[in-house]
Amino acid sequence: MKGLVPLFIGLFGTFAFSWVGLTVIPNWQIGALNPQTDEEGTDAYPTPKSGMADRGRQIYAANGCIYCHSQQIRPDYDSADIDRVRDAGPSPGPKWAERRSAPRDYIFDRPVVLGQERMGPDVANIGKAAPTEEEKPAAAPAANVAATSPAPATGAAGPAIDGIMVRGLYLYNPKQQEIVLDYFRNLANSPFFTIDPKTPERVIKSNSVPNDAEWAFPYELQLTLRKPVKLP
Amino acid sequence: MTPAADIPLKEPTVSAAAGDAEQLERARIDASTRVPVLMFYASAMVWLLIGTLLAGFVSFKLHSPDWFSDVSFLTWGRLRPVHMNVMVYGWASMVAMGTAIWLMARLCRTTLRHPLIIVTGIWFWNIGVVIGVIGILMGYSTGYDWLEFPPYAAVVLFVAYALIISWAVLMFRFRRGDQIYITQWYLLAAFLWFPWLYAAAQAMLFVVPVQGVMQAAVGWWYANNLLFLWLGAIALGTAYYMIPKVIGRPVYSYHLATIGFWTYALFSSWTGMQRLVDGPFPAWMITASIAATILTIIPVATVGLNHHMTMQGYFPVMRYSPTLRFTVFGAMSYTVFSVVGILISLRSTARYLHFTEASIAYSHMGLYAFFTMIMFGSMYYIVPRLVGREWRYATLIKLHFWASAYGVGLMSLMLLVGGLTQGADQNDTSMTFIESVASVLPYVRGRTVAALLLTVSHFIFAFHFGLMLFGLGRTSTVPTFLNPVEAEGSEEHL
Repeated sequence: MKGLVPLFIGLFGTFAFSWVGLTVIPNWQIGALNPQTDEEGTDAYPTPKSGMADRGRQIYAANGCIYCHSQQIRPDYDSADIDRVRDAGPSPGPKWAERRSAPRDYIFDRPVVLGQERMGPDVANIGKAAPTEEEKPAAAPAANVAATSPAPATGAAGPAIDGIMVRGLYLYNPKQQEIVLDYFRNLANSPFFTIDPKTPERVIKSNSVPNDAEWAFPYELQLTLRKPVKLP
Repeated sequence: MTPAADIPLKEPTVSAAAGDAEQLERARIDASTRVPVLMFYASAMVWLLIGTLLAGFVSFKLHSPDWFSDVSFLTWGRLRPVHMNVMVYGWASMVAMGTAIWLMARLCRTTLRHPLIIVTGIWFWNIGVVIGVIGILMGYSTGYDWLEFPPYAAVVLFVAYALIISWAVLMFRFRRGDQIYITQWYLLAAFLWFPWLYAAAQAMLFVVPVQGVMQAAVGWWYANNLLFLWLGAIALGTAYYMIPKVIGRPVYSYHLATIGFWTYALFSSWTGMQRLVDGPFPAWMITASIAATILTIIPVATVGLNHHMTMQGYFPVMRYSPTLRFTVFGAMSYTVFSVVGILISLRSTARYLHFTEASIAYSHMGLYAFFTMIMFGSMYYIVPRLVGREWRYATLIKLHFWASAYGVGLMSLMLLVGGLTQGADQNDTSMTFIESVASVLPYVRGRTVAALLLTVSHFIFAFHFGLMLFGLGRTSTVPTFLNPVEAEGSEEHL
């Protein structure tokens, strides 16, 4: 090969082609999706997840759950994902999913944990399989793990409660709001919970902003116990 | 060729009896690369042993999960990314940079300037890998495949890389002769692509994070290109140097090499999205990558044909030369790895192999059977030239080769067949999910046997390399052959 300039232009060009083609252009296409709403602008999907869900995601990433579990459902023409029924959990076994996954499902996920292998079942909709799961502390072992599963046991200490989650609605009434907030402040100041005063938004989190048209809006309150309480 | 009279000879480092000026010049160049390249190799060997032990641990724990699962940093989910990252950033990248720097000095026919700066870079790189490993073990993994190191470890790696590569590029600036050999294209390409790739992935995932599923797309774009354009490019460049060098014959065709190089750069850089088949992405992204994967048959065929025609009539040399045996095994594995890659990327097979152990088989065929075997070959060639001794035991080299070859062969076979069973069972709704997991367990146990073979192989090689490093190799003018050469006069050296 003669000449360095063509070589370097070629090396630069081929790689720029790949970079633009596989990351920059797709990012224009699906990199800025917004939650979808119905005509009245309500019933948004998806909504930002609670602080507890974020913590669960961090634990999921840090402990390598992603190497055995996927969080994506393939279409029915290429797989049995939609027809598959969960092995464990309430009876009759809930289905893995109703439809294939779409990019919009993941817009609030960071890191996104799509997964690449299934030594364990897909967990994209695990919350639906066990509706009470969300209220359980993140570190407790999942109740619906198959007995012969290769997933390691989660610690010898046994299940424990490490916090509580309160959910409800604020009423659009200044007096009532004042009462609710006061109640929360008392809870947060109690000696039983760990509250980081620098990040109050992680404790009290409203899912939508109130406006004059609405009479109420939902909130979530996450309180971590200073000392986990063992389950009997 | 430059007249021998131009060569500035100061204090030759080999005996004058060695003969002509060209050999003296080579010895001088080799001597200048001695400290940094040996440091690269020594660090890489340490990481290889750590990574191998971790691999055994990870493989065993997959079928016996409760082993040590009470200790958080010894759980499977943390050790697996540590194994992966130690192998990619500790072993593969370091051995690749060592070989690349030596090749660059040889091919530019210039001495390595300022080796101390490279040595500093090597220390930084090692520190970066240590920081990253500790980060993962303590539970700060980022959760992105191949990029689990916390971002602060990536910063250290980046500084190290800048220190190392700027001096390799400087060598290119001071090269003598007009001709740029094929190997140099691959090396320059890898040197240029890696920082871009790494910076782009870090920026798009941590600095200005992309939204939702785009993180997965960036992640696989990075992982595939790291395999092809960083490690793969250096391995192919090395093969283009070693094969003609050992058999003493020029490369069959420069034109084929040019086609092979540019199609490799163009097509393999577009692969990666096929690993997300049927995922929540626009179909064109995945289809584009599948098409690019199929098109990689062009570089595979041209590079394979070129090596084959170069080797034509010289295949028996593999009986004697360790370098050639490892390199040719690696070059052939490149073909097998790519063909398997094409087969498992097709949508009709991917529906059975997606989400199974087959993807692990594919990664190991690329990183081990192709890349690592070529690197072993280059170490068998380069180390004697740096320490001035020959490899001590031909038996150990043979053991190393066969344990590695059978080990990686068994592993690929087990995981591919196991993956097929697993995938077929997953798509059969008359079976429960856990039955599909149970069906792959025997194959996963077979993989542990393969891991044991590879462990034996790597410890043998590390021992042999240690002997060389401490000056315990053979003193001889004839390289160590795997089998006695029946040619006149060389028998007494074996």
